[in-house]
Amino acid sequence: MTLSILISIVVGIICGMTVLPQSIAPHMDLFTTIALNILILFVGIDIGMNKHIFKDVKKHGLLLVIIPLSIVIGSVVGGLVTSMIIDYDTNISLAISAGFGWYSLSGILLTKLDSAEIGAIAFLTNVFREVFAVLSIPFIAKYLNKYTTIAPAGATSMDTMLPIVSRYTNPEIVVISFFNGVVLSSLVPVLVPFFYSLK
Amino acid sequence: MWSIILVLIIGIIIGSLVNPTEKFKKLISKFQFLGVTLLLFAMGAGLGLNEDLLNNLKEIGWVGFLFALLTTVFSIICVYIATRIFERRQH
Repeated sequence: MTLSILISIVVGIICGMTVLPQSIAPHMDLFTTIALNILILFVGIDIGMNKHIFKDVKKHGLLLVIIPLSIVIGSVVGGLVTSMIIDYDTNISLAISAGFGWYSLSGILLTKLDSAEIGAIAFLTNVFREVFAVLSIPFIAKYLNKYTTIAPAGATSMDTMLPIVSRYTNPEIVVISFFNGVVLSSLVPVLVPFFYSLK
Repeated sequence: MWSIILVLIIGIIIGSLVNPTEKFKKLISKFQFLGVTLLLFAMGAGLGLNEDLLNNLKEIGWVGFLFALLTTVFSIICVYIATRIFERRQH
């Protein structure tokens, strides 16, 4: 399965760069959205078949706060360390890190707040973050613990990464993952401008 | 975001109505596998088709790579530590 994940994404990139015509680029988004919605439907069916699921999540309710908070702290620390390595302004570095994988929004926000270049960096950062999530989730599920699979996914743990988390964990984690995505997605438009304003 | 919430709720309702036989669960799992493969292919193709992204990659790609790597790694570390403490408290 891990290998098939890598193969799917790499074959996709190669096809996009070579055989696929540029004219289908505007339609890729629609295709992804349809594929994603069908998948989410199956994820929902999976959750619905587990009658005790919401009771289980309620028992671990604190995790709905602990996990998003830990991801925010981890991303902030990661952003600070990066800013020291590459000598970037702290406020810009933190704003880039607060995209939590939501590349379209963080890219647009930082293009408006700062410049096209910083916007492009934010976009790329969060694209890479999503790719790292795809690649790391299988290993995290195997060697760390199932909760931690939500960590690399960040804000995308409610949409694009939800099927991946579902594949490697269980319905309880999927419900937590979804809520985590809702919390982090709501924080992106708040934290990106906030961090940027810290001079 | 709203369409995802709606689709998820529809799925949960369908799931709670069906009789979850092992055969049905296996079928769902197969569909999920197929869907994930397709989704990742589409994501990859979207990246490969994005010429602006590929052009930017040469100049600022490494900056984005570093930001993504460190935010991902530290997020993993923080969540792992926090959930380990949580699990220990539960027992």
